[in-house]
Amino acid sequence: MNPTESTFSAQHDALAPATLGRRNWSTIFRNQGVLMLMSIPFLVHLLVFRYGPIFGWVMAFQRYRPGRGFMDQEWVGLLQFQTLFADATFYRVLRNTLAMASIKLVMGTFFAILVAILINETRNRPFKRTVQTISYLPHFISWVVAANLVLEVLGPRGVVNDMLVGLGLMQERVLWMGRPDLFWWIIGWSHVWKTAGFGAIIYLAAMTSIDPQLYEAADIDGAGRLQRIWHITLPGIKPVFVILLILNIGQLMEAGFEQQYLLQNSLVMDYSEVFTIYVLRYGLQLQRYSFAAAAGIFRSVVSIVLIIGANTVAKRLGQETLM
Amino acid sequence: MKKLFVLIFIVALVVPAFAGGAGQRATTGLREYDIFLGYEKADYPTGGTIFGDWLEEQTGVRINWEFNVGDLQQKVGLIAASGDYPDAIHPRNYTQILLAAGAAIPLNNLIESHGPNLKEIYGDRMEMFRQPDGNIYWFPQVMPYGDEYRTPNPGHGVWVQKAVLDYFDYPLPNTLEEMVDMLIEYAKAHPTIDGNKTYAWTGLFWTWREFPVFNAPTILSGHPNDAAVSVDWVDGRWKARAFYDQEESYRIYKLYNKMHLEGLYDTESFVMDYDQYLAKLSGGNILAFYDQDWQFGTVQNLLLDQNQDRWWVALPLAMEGYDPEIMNPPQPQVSEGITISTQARDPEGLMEYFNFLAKWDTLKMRSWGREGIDYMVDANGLFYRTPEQVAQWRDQDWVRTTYGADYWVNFIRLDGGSLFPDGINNIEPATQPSVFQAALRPQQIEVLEGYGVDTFAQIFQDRHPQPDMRRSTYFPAWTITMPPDSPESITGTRIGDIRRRYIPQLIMAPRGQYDRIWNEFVAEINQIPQRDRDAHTAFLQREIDRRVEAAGGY
Amino acid sequence: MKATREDVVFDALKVLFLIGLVVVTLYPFINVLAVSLNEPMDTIRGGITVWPRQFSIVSYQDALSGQNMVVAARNSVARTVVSAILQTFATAMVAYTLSRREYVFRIPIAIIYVITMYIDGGLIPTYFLYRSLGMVNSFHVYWLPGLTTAFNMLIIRTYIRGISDSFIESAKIEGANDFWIFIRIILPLCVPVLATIVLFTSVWQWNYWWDTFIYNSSRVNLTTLQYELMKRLASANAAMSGTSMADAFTRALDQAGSQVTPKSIRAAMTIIVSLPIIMVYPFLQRYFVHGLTIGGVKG
Repeated sequence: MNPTESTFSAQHDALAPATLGRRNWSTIFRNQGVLMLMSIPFLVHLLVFRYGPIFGWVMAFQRYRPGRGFMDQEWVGLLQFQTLFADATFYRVLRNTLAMASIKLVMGTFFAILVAILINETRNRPFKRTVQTISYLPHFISWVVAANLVLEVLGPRGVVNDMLVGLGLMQERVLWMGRPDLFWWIIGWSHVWKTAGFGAIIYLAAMTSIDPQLYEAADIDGAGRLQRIWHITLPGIKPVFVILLILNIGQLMEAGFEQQYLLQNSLVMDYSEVFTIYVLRYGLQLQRYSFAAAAGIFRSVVSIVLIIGANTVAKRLGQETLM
Repeated sequence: MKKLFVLIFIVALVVPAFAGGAGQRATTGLREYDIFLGYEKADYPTGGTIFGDWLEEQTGVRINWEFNVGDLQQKVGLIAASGDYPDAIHPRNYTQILLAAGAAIPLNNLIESHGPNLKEIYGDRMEMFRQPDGNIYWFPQVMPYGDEYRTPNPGHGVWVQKAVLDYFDYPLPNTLEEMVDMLIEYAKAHPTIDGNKTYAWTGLFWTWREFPVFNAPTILSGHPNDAAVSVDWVDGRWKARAFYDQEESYRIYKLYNKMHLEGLYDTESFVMDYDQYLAKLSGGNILAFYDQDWQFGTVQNLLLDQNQDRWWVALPLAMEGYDPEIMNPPQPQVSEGITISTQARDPEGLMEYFNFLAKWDTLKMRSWGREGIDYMVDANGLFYRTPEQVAQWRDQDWVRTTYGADYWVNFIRLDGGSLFPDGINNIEPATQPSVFQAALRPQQIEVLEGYGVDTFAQIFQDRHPQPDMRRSTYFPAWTITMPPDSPESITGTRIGDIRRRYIPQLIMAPRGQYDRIWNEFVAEINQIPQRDRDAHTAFLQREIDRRVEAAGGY
Repeated sequence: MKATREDVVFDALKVLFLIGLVVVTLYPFINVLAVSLNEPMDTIRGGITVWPRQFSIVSYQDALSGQNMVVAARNSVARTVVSAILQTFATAMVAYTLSRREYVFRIPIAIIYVITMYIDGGLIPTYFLYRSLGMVNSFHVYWLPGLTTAFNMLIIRTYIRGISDSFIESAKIEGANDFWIFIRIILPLCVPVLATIVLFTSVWQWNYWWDTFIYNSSRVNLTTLQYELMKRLASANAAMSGTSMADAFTRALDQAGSQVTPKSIRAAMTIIVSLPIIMVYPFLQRYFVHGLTIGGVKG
């Protein structure tokens, strides 16, 4: 896909609703009936399975006690939301969540693309396949196992300290995991390590759709490797990149759970506690189901606002959008 | 593309085939009950085990077990809300959720009509789990029986390495402070052990396993494991007192700080996970720590098997000015247990089954096994095990999959430290003096001889009479669950979070800075209104009083 | 093609980076393999890196010792295959319709899809709904609720949008309907992205156990491999957590002579569940890891 085409599609999108009213519905049904048959059953399925349970959100306006029907509960209005917004911990947790999610988003995306490009640029096929297979192995290692490895590597007698002291770069061994200023970055790097190979797969798939003639033409023009990557490969994966970016911006309230939970300790807890952990510890574990539900609604609203914002920006810039 | 269609077609045919298979059950001629047990259990065949077969034969009942696998609170909440109940449910510490949902039937009448054995083993203690509405809804996992209590193991305490005890010729200092001085002296004389730096002290401070450091103030000021508060006998009542900002907290972490300033407190412990803690302990370079025995039991056994002096002995040590009353009394687990659900198909039959489990012979069979095969009886009626029997019962695989009583240990059982009505035999072999003796290793005997005692518990009992059986009316305070969705529960979590942040800072305080950090800590605690914190303690006090009341009053 | 200086430097840095990547991503797996093959009690001491210290397969024996392993493996394979095929097919179909610019419902449907990524009604309402739909104690709960997912749909749609319209236009002129176009033209052109989605779906399905725990835990014939392994792991954890030990008896019982530890079982589990995927992987991999010379689809 070239830039002009996507700009065109963006304009086309903007026009579509305006022209709709003038169309004749019977013509539409005749022309698009098959499309409807192919999509509407799944839409109904989605409405039932994914939107059906949303009636549970009423819980957020109650003081829910299990074992009674949803309508036999005590109604408290917006009390749960007020409690949430009045809690000082909540704001610290919000900061940590957004910070770590952003770090993970930027680093994760960057390295996934880097790995995909480098694999794509490799001609030796066995090497390429091997690198690709191995780099995605950490995906199968649960955080419980992975966290223990991270703690060992960064421990006082871990390999990082061994190297830094051995090379004379440091006098004393450092408690890396006890440093509040490093915790977010440890989360970021361990995320890269665990997901870069897996994340690269989508970009590799996207690269298969790039016309090889473009590369041949570039070679004839005498373009260097970096120029080819810059002018052909990157534009080729841009639509996927933009879509993933928009979706991930919507996920900024999801900084993870197990990763922080298992890597954190009391020395860094001011910087490690994320929204999901907060909801667990101050909500579900204290059987404050309604409070947890209110927190969930808050998270959904923020996500939807973020994604609308990201999508609007993408549209303004003439990029691929969700709609 | 045709292939694809064929594939999808096949899938569409296969799916219902998988879906249809539910609910088929072989007819066995036995009465069958479904039980959800909120414990995590390894699979073993229910048919074909010694105990399982015996029980089936005796009762004509087969149980279809379901065990917990994931988050129990979620699962119980779901069972409660769904209204789909198996015949019996053991929701463990979420029993109240189930009760609030009205999922359990009152058992009072059934106990009268079908439960004579249950009445006998529980006796007056049955009142302890009668609910405020006058009904009994569950049978606890474990209850003490009678007033006698006999155990060879203290369970927790200050664990000091045997090599250190050897070095000082089996000392029993009066205070923890003196012991710490000895540890420092030993560490200075032995700066490394097997090439690793010697540390006087460590403590796990990770997720819910944080209690070795978190609860140190109450335990090391001479209390059993109430954890949430210190409970003392004051003016004829059990009085709960918050300790988190009190003298004992100040002093214990200052004592740890003293070791830290000598470079002997293992500060790595603050970033260690559980696996690393065990690995560290197994290195043999940790001289002492506080913990409960089950948390590091695997390492203890590993070191004992290696036949070195680097394993630990629990000592009754408290800070100066406190009596080391540390041993836990038997704990009546009155706040949770197995319920019969409102959808039980045959409550009478189930109660008969429970009643059979409460028979003395069943209890004996479950813990001791078969007379003449798994244990012997001497001329005085004392049960004992031969060395071969001891070895056989040490093999966990055999106990689990061949003997197979493991599925029945979590309800309607008596505390192992209690005695049978004969007054001479322990309910469980592990606590029977003769079995304990037979299982001792030479190094353990060496320590016992060094202190001139027969059991490890006796080291504690010689220092201070314990456990205090009077505590069995309320113990332990940590099982008190805060009311769901209550301000008290939030206050508890908040206090905990502040402590979690400050404890490492206190222990690692630079010279001369301890008091400043302590004052910061207290200032932050004071940001939680006094009245909220008092309400938290008051709730615990009310619950303790209620338990004592139910157990017959003061 | 002649190698310029830029090429040489680029290749050197590239190979260096990729080898570094292989080292840091392979190490954990090797480490887990070594732990899984080490004697569990010895593992407690720590310090296992790439080679077992005391070789033993007891962790595997223990992890696979459950009663229901055969039926569990069968169900896991079934749910993985069924979901991978049906979900990928259904998702691709929706993605195709939403890629058609003339389709009137394309925007509302896309919005409805996207929102599902950020809302969640919670466990109890979901359970009630599923029960009323007959999803409890049923194999269908494994594949039906996630029949189409927003994320996968958007990935496929983006890929379809990258395909030139000329293919579709010419087919339209020949009078083909959209379903025919989807099957005969779009699906073959989308093989790389479909292979990716099949992979994602399979990995997820193969590893997931929570739905078994919530919806099918009381039906042995619907159990799954991951669930059975989690069950064993949970019991090993419980043995080291004191929760099952209210008194002196169980304490003494659980301490003496236990054979395995959570750490060892977890390591064995990791290997057991990842091996089948790793073995199937090359068959999918060839669709999305291309040589530069293999053609794209856009004309």
